[in-house]
Amino acid sequence: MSKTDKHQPASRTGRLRADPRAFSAVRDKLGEQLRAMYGKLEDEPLPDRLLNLLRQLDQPRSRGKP
Amino acid sequence: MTLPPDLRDGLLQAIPSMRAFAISLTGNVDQADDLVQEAMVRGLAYIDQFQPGTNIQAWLFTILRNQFHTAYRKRRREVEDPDGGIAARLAVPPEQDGHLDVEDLKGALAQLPIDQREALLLVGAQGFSYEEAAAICGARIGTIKSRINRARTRLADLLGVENPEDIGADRVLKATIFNETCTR
Repeated sequence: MSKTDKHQPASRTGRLRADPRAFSAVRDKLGEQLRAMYGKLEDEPLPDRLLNLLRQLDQPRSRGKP
Repeated sequence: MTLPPDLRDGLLQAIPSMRAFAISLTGNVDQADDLVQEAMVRGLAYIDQFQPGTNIQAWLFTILRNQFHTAYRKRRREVEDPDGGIAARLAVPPEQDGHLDVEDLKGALAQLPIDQREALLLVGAQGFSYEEAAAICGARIGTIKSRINRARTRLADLLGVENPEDIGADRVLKATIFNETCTR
């Protein structure tokens, strides 16, 4: 992006960024962690209100709705 | 209402992912469930506008994402937190020693700008293509790529990760990095 991305002496990852391979390894690892976190959320049981909504999908006809 | 079975199955299957996306995006389970519920109701109300043969999951994510932005703009006006300062203070700062855990990651995610956070989640966590994420966000593919790039860099910054070892033991990775740094 802009030059601000290239000059970040205060950044803790500044040293790492000087080494693109190590930096991309860190980013890959963070990506794995992100997917793991997301996967756990997907596996969580759904709350009642969403389950109720799903049950409505399974009803053959809506009642009283045009 | 009666839905064609494939549409119905598509809706059912999308819910856990929509919820994971909404929780990761908002950092708040109640708010996330509101969003998923609203998106489902809205999706069902407008199901006629869905084009069969296209990706129903991407379609539902688009609805959910739009709902989020509407609610987010409204809330920002109410709370008057234009710089996200409150959000940043609410985020849990990572432990400087020890391994990164899920809470650290959640806290860091919360500090990413919204546009970067959603792009990263859509592609990096949910597994949408850049094209799909661009369509969902109403942005160009190049914009999505650059947002994701910045998001990843910022996450590493926020988490203070200087070394892949901080994230988890991985001997192969470590060996690779040491070899690389030696040859440089």
